[in-house]
This record gives sequence, structure tokens and C-alpha cells, in this order.
Amino acid sequence: MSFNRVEEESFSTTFDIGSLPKHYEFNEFISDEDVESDRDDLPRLVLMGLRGSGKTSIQKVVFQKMSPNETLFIGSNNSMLKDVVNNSAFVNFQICDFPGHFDFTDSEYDVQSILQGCQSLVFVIDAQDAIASALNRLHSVVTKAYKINKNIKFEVFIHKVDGLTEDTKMETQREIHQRANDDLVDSGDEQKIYISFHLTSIYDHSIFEAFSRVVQKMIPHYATLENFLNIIIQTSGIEKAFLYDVKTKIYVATDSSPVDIQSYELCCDMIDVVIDLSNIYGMGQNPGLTNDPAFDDQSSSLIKLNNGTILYLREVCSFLALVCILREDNFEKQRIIDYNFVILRKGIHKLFELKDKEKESIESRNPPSFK
Amino acid sequence: METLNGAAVEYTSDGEISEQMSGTVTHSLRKLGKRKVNILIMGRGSSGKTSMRSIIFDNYEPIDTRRLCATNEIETTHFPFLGHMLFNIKDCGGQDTFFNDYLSHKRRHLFHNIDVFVYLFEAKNGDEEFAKDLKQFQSLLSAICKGSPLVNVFCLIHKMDLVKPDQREKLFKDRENELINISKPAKISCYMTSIWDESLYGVWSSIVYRLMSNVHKLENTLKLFAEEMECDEVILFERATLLVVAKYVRVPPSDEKRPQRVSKTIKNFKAKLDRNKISHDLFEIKLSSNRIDFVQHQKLKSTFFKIITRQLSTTKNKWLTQSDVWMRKSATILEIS
Repeated sequence: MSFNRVEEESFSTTFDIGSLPKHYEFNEFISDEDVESDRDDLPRLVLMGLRGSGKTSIQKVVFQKMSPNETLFIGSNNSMLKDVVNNSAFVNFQICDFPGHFDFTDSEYDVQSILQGCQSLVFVIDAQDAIASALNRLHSVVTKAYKINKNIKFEVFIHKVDGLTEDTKMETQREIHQRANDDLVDSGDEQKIYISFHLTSIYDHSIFEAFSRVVQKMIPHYATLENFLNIIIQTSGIEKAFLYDVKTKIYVATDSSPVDIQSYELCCDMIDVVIDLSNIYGMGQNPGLTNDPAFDDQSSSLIKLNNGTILYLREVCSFLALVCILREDNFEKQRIIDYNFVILRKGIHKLFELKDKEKESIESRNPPSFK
Repeated sequence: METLNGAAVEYTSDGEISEQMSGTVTHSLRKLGKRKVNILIMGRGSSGKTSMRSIIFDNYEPIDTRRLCATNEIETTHFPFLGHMLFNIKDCGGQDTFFNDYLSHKRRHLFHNIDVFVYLFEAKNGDEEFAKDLKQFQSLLSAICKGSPLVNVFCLIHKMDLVKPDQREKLFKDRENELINISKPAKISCYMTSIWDESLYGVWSSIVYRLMSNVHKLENTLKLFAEEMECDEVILFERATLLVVAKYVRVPPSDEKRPQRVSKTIKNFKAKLDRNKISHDLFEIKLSSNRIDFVQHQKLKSTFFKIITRQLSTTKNKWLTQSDVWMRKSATILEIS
């Protein structure tokens, strides 16, 4: 008899959600220089924020499938946590989780080199506590990071908004936005630095949504992917298409129509249930291989809802799935949709190859030799 | 329909006897050909009775049960099940004073015509506490057996998640033996449960299984259907609770908890959809080797059908028409039961 939750094992490594946390380096501070240099080619995402703002919780919930209620037991960490997310060809990066008390002058962390390879800096603000000092901190972090690396994209997560009412949420966001910009104006950086703001909470899908947007900015081929999806929704009569990373439920791309949080949640729920059921029924074929995902490229799923909508899921390649929302009437042309999907899949695979080639060409830095 | 004769007595939460009202309910049920099933849930205070009921019948998530507070006296809920049954669930507060009350004042009414008696033991309780539990259970059991000789008794060793994994099996065996010994000659079934996993669905599915008088007929039709359609597994779920009503499995799976786990997964999904006020009519998943379908009958809204087939053996159209025919058939069986 297996229980998902055991009191003595609140940090147990078994998660009932089907996807598996890949790198299980729980609270492990990687000081090994070799390992680090191995991963240096990956894009880097840095998490910063005041102590207790919820940085580590975010990381655990989004990337290690910890249940939000268990994050209460996470203590504050005093060293930098590094983790590599390497799910699919599009979602692979390194996360650096800085401790809250960290200081730029601190020699313990190699801030210079970390920020040099950093693509995205996520600053977490606790919406319910110490906003003023968080804003001061944000300003100093942003200006210093900008001096080191001018290409960093700054993202602010206004976190723990689950405790606020709908009105105060908006107000808080407006206020934080205003004051952060005022600070930048005061120091004369407003033309150069652009910060985006997201309202997040680990208790609903907003944190996944926000992370999706952050990750999308890190994908070099995002525009191409978006274009692919635009074409498929036009030709197949689909209302909305998401390209999901099924492990983290981050969507790496969507078509250019605006994202409605409800449909995003619906698709997340669908992925959850499909993966759970595939795990129940798919494991029988490969007993012993617990790492072997039951969800493979033959997988597809269809849910007909009673409001005349259809959710259609197809696997693109390992851990990447296309989820479409469409009207029931348009699903009569299922064969066309399937055909279009096959073409889309080919396109995405080509994109992968392109990406790999780019990588190779960067790695082999030898100039081409002419005769 | 053996439960319909005899006056069923209900207690409101104030402890008043509303005999007359209950009489009308029973009467109208009889007119509709429905059957009232009396379920009595008991156990010591804060052993998890109301949590269990809320998860199975009220779509609570396990984490939400923290919000529940102690039950005062008896809380009666009605739950229509499969169109022809009405569960009358009496959730009895477990404090000692209530217990004395049950066994003295209310003895005459409370233990009459009980179809199912569920008693919860806390797994983490030491032997001393357990002995106290046993004593209480024993006096209740003898009272119930007198009032309703056809009762099905279920003992749950609950909150198993609080016991270390390697000790669970042994603890359960010990408790089970002791329980079987003291409750002779009445027959009881013991289960180990926790609200954090799928075990509750297993228990309640077997409760439902016991209550269905013509379940064999249903299973036979399931079998015929499965053979016709070359399915590996056909399971009939109740729609609201997602309890397993009947199943036919051609190839026994390695994991016998599979139906329960499916119940739990789908129920979670359903709860999420409910939040958006939608529900799913049809749900299919294709894996490389299996295909899972959930179909819901258009008219008989109280059941779900889940069918696992080997892929490619049948075309979809044939599948749909066949399943429709079969559903109508099983619907009639359910109605005449």
C-alpha cells in the first residue's frame, strides 16, 4: 500500500503527479566547479528577492512538483541553490536561487560570472509584507545587474497574492509598478531598463502562467513557434493552441491571440489527468522502468465538454504536447486537424535540428577553412 | 426492497425525532420504486468520519477537510445513488457523551434497519486506546445486530498515513485479527485507509458492491460487451462519487488498486471542471498500447463507463454504437434492480 503523503516524510521524494522531477538535487549546493562549467552553456535564470518572499517555494512547486501546502516546511536557505531544468529541447536552463540576505559585494558568490550568462532575472516581492524594502532592494539589484549584463530581462513576481482581494491585487500591482518606475526615473535608468510585472501565487495556476511568459522570452525561436501555431489554428479551425512542456506545465508557445487564464487552467488540468491515467495504464508494459514515461509520442487525448468545446491533446515529441481548444462543430474535420498536426510536428522537429546545429557550430569555433 | 418495511427514524441535528417526515420520504420513495439505504458511520471523536464522508460524497479535496469541525450528535445526509437508491447517511458524533446517548436513549431507533455500519479506528492509537475503541465497537455491534440482522459491517483502520510504511502491514493484520475475533459471529470486513490516497474509494466501492442486489447480472452484460468489443477492462462508475459499481477485467492487472486510482484521478479532474461549471461528456486517451475511453450515457446521467481496449481492433463508429446499445441495456438492468 503506498501513501502519497506521510507525515514523517513531508519531503518525501514520491509525488503523485505523474511527471517525475528529473534532477533530484534537493537542497544540494553544487560547489563542484566541473559540474558547473558543464552547464555553463545553458541559459540562466536567476531568482532573487527578500528573505521569505517565496523564491525557493516557487522553484520547488514549478520544477519539482512539490505540493503547495508542503512548501510551508521549507526553511530559509543560506546558500545559493542551483538546479538544471532540462525537459525538452525548448525548456532547458539553469536556475540560480539566491538566498534572501545575499549581497552583491559578497565574495561567496561569483555574482559577476553568474549574471554574465544570465538571461532572465526574476525578482520576487511578497505582496503582503515589506513592499517598501523589497522595492529598494529591487532597484539596487536591477541597476547593479544591468551594469554587469545589459541583456538581462527583468521580471517581477508580485507573489502571494492569494491572500488579497481582486481589487487590492490590481491596486498593489499598480502601486508597485509605479514606484519601481519612479525609482528608475530618479536614477535616470528608465530609458534603458524595462521591468515586467506578474501577479503570482503558488496556490493556483498563476505562477505557472507567469513562468511560462518568462521562459518564452528565453526561447530564441519563440517567434517561429508562435507563427507555426498561428498557421495551424487558422487552417484547422482551432480557437486556441498551446504548446506545453508537460513536465512543468509551462507553455513554451501559444498563438498570438490573448491568453485567457481559464483556458490555460483547463489545459493544465487536462494534462494532469492524462498523465495520471497514462501512468496508471501505461506502466504495465515496462515494469521496473519507473523513469520510463507512459506518455509517449503515440499519445493523444480528446475531451468533449458539455459546453460544446473540445480539448484535443497530441504529443509532439518527448515532453512537449500540443493542446488545442476548439468548437465541437469544427472537430468534424478531425482528419484535417490530424494531418496539419503531422506537418506541425515535422516543422518543430526541424526547428530542433536547427537548434542543435547552432549549438554545434558555436561549440566548434573553428573558422571554416577555404581552399 | 427489504429495507422499506418498518419505520425509519431520523434525527435532526437537534436530536429531535422527525418520524413523520421520514415516513413520507420512505413512502414517496416506495412509489418511485426507490430503495432507501441506511448507512451508519461511527467512530471515536476526530477519527475522520466527516472527512471521509465529505471526500466521497461532497467532492472535498483531502486538504479541505481541515476546515471541518466536530460533528454534534447525528448529522443526516441524503444522497441519491444510481437513480434507484437513496443513501441515508448518518454521521454520528464520536464524543463519549454522545455514545452513551446512542446506546441508551436512541438505542431503539438508531440501530433499526441499518444496511451498512462503518466504524473507524485510528491507526496511530496505541493498544490502550484501541482496547477502549474495541469495547465501544463491541457494544455498538451487538446493538446493531439485534436491530438489523442483515447489516454489512466495515471496519476501517483509518489515518494509515500516520504509521510508518514498513509497520503498516503488521499493524493492520494485528488489528484485523483482533476485530474478527471479538465480533464473532457477525462477519466484518477490514480495510486500511487514508484520506491522502485512493484507499477510501476502494472501501466505498465494495460497500456499493454489497448493496447492489443484481450486480451479477450487470457483470454478465459487462462481460458480453467486453468480449464483443475485445476490451481488456470495462468498469462502470457512478457519476457523482466515481465509485466503482461493477467491473469486468479480462486480463487481471498487476495492480489491483487500479480502479480506485482511476476513481481518484477522474474525481480530481471532475472537481476542477466543476469549478468552471462544466463537465465532460466524452473522454478518450490513446496510448501506444492502450486506449481508455470514458463515456457517459445521454439519458441515464448517473453512470460513467470506462472502457479499456486494445487499439485498432475496432473502428470507432462500431465502438460507439455498440457501447450505446450496451449502455441502454445496463441502464434497464439498473432501473429494474
